[in-house]
Amino acid sequence: MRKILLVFIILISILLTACWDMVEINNRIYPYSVGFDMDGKEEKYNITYSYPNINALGKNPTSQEKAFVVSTKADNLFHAMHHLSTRISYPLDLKHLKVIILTEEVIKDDKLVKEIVDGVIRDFIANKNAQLLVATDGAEKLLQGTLKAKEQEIVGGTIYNLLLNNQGSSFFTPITMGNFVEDIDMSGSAIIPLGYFMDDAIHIEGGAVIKENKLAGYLTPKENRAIAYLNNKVKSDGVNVDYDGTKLSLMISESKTKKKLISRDENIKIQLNLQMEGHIHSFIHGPGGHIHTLEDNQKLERAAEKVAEKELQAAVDKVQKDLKSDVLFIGSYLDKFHHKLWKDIEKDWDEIYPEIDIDVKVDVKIRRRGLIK
Amino acid sequence: MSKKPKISHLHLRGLLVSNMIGVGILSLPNSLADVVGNNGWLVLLIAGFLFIGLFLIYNQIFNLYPGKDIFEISRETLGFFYYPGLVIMFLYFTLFAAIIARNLGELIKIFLLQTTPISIIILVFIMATAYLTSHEIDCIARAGYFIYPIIIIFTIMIVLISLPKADYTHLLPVLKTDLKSVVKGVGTSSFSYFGVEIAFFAIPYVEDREKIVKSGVLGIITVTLIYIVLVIMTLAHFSLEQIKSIVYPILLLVRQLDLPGFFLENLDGMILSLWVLVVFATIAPNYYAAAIIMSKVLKTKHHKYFVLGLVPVLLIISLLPENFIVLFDIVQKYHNILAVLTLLVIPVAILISAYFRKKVQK
Repeated sequence: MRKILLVFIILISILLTACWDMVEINNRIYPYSVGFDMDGKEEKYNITYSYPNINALGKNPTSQEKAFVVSTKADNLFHAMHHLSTRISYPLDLKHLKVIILTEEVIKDDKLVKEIVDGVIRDFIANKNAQLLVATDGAEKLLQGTLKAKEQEIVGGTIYNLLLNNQGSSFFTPITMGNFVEDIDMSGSAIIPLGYFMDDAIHIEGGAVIKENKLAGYLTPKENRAIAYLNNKVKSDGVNVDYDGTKLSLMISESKTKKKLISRDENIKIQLNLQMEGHIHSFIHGPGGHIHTLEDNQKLERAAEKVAEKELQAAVDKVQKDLKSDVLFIGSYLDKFHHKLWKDIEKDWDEIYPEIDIDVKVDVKIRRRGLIK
Repeated sequence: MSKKPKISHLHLRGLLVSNMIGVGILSLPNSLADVVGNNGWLVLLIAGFLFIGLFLIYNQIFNLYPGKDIFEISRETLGFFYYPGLVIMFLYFTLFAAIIARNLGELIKIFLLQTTPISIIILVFIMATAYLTSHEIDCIARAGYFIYPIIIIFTIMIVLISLPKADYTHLLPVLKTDLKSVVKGVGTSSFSYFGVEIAFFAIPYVEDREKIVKSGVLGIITVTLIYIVLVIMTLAHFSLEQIKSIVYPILLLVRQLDLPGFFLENLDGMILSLWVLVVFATIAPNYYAAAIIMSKVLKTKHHKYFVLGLVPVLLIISLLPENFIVLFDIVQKYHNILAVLTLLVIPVAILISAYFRKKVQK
């Protein structure tokens, strides 16, 4: 009798229990981008979520709209989810949040960025790998925009694909939430890519320099590329040089920057040695003729170095003198490799940094010339 | 005890490793970064050597009294302090098991079972452990030996998935911490080595006595290496300030990884389920120790009645701390005091007294 009872209980507990609190994937909403606009009236932000319409995916879509955009006024990300629960049919889940879009007003305030970042990092569920983006014309406008190009139909998805940067663009440097916190901790500054909507297309280029949790200034795409070179974040890139009245186009396939402390007196001097390696993209046979000798090659290399050095130095001067932001991680370099010196200057680093000498030295190596001599 | 349990030296190693690595492993980089910055690996190394010394002390006690278990030895050597000593040890093990259970419950609730009440999670876990604990030390050692490879896999997995994006320059500058914080850091890292005291109950039953030292030391070295590797991995991924502010750096490390092809995302669920097994192997020996001490104090034949009796006790103690601050700071502080008594004071007292008595006898 007892045995039968035992078997009965075991069977019941196996057969009658199931995933009672299960939520099917189509009963949840996974927003992949969220935008923060300032509201400034009763609530702080106007928060916009963009999420894919699962019914519009697959072979036989039952619905036309590919993605939905909803916005609400709320004080923070989670508050907004509560607000939206009165309006949309399923709960929002931030586990697969891909892009967090900020606006100029948000990053101009010295508390808001920190607040938003803290909310996402502190939350148990929210994705810590979400990409950050600054929308120059407002986040809602960016997410509400409709794309002209047929192959990119959903704005939210396109932004994420652009930010993944599989094409290796150097005009913007993608940054995730985690990287952002890390950069801010290490140098006090970070660069967030800029995005805007123009001519029915999304453009992501340039960067907003954040210093001490607020906007210090913007970088143009070219300046962003220069900083990316110096931070070893460029995968491949092209360099165009005027040479003897013709255009020389180089493909840079490898680049590496090393920092070096030249002088440690009261006038600290840092040298940034950038080594580039690549091959010739296109080069019109001008008066110089073919590239035959080592000398020819070296001439081309020197010409490219000159151009690159000028561009990089200008960008460095801008972030150092104008923006006063240590986006090149020079403080962290000194801390790691010249600890004694760093201990002396750590306290006054903010005043010292704009005064130090930063020299950029470029070494270009043309390894291959292509299929034409 | 009609039949004496027998364990092999390999099981002893498995027991040591699985008992020492426990709940603390997820938050270890954080507690170390608070004290010694990026030199966590150094203090772990020092603490590892200290605990090897401690293990040798334990082994020496049993060398002096071959064939006797810890209770017979301490009754002989401690005399009047025998019962107070047992009470302290009992409190230590009970509190340890309860803290682990609570920590586990908190994490499971947060990450895996959001809607289950924490008391149910803890109760189910304690009940499952109680089954193992009602057996003798040989079964527990064998369970530890089973978990041992899982711990290694756990570590290797974390290292493998975090290798591609590591930046080891975060480890620089090396050795630029003052001596005071290193000493403090050794203290902090010692918490992660709690669990070595299970050797009290295991050493007397090891068959091949000459291999105990080698096996035990190897076990502690394994633990040290695992800790060091994990701490270095987290340092290579986060800035120091970040580690100082994250409660469970290892979990966040796993979470923040995005490997190319991103089908492997949010691996924290997997890591946590492995970690539950690791915690299981930590809680069982402590639970066992608490039960067997109680049975010795009350002079019963078998400890299994106390195993059942301890279930509600553990549950209540583990549910008592009101919030995370009480759990991490206040309860932990009492536990640390008990730990110093159990791990260091009592064994050293036994050893000194034993030497003294041997001399007198001669």
